[in-house]
Amino acid sequence: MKIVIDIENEEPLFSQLIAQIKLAVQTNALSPGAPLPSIRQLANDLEINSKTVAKAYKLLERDKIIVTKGYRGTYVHADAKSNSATDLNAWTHEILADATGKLRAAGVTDSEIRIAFQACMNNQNKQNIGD
Amino acid sequence: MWIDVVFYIVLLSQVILISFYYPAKIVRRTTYVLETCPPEQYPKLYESTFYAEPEAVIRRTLTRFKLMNMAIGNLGIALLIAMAITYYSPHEIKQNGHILFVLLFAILQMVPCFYIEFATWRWHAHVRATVQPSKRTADLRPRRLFDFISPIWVGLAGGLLITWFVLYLTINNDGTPWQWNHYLTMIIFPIQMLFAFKIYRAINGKKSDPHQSYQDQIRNIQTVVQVNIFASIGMSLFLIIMELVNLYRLDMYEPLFLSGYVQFMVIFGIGQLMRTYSIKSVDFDVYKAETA
Repeated sequence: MKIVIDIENEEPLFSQLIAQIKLAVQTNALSPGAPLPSIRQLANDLEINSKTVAKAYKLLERDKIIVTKGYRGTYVHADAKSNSATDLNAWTHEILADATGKLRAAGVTDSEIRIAFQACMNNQNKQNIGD
Repeated sequence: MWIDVVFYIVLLSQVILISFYYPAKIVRRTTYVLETCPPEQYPKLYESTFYAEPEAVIRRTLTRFKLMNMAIGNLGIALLIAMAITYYSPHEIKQNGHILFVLLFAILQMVPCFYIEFATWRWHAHVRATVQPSKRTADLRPRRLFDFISPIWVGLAGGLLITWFVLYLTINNDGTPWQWNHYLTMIIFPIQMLFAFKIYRAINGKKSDPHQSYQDQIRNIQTVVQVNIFASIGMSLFLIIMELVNLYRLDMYEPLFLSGYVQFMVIFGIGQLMRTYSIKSVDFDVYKAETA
């Protein structure tokens, strides 16, 4: 299974990687449990920074598309196909767009929304540190 | 007397193998590529902004390689004839003079190989600097050591290295403090690490040729892995034999073993490359102009 990334594309490289791997899962080119190349191998083959591949792998792992088994390597998650149908990024955009729309309809200004969002994020971060 | 005859035969074999046989194969291989893949049809094969006439550069390098080998090979034959005329008897030479001769001549014979190796490396570096495609492809299959070589060979390489080290410690454990030559012998470990590093880099590193097809890349990696594992095995075997030669005072066989080792390295180095990486099976279509 081959993947292609375009370094001149406006879409970030890690997003292209995620999309390509998800596509491979959805089209059954990658079956559950299939091994994936190491971060270094993929980065060198694509001639991109290994941090970019690591970021893509981290996000795919968060979405349960892939699973890392320590030194044994990285594998396609058992539920990868169903999990790849969910796009957390798109879902986040959807929820935020809905909330922003409701707040604007209630007369809240963009500036107030930004300040409130920032405060929420800061509080969440403080809570996370406290935990 | 018979040992002298064997010495002459083995050394003649070394001269023919390293200076005539394999260089001729390398020249034939490269000439085949130049003749079947002209720059007009396969421009990506000659893609380099560093050379005005890349094809001429390749031909010049090849001619130099051919001439160097011919000169060294003829020198070897001339030396053998001179030795025979003067009744040179290697087993009578003391203080390792004969083994030094074999060693120095083997190093001289390897000079054209180092030259062509360096020229190839420089060529690929220039091509890599020239070719910066915006679209990049990768295969999602992982590459692992045992995909390219049997675990038996890897185990043998490791086992022989340990065997040599144990043998060395046993033989040289006479209670006296180690001299510089003992410490110098330990250079074997960095050399073996170098073999391991070359294997690691071949499996996980960047492609030397950006246009190379996936199948060719895999075969290239397989060749590098096999050559380095065989080199490690050959080196450990040679060292074990040399320890036994010293132990049983078989000094007169030293040049034979050294020459045999050099020939083994060439047969399993360049020879292995030729066997596993046949030029006719290389996918040259990737170098055509219309190939994306």
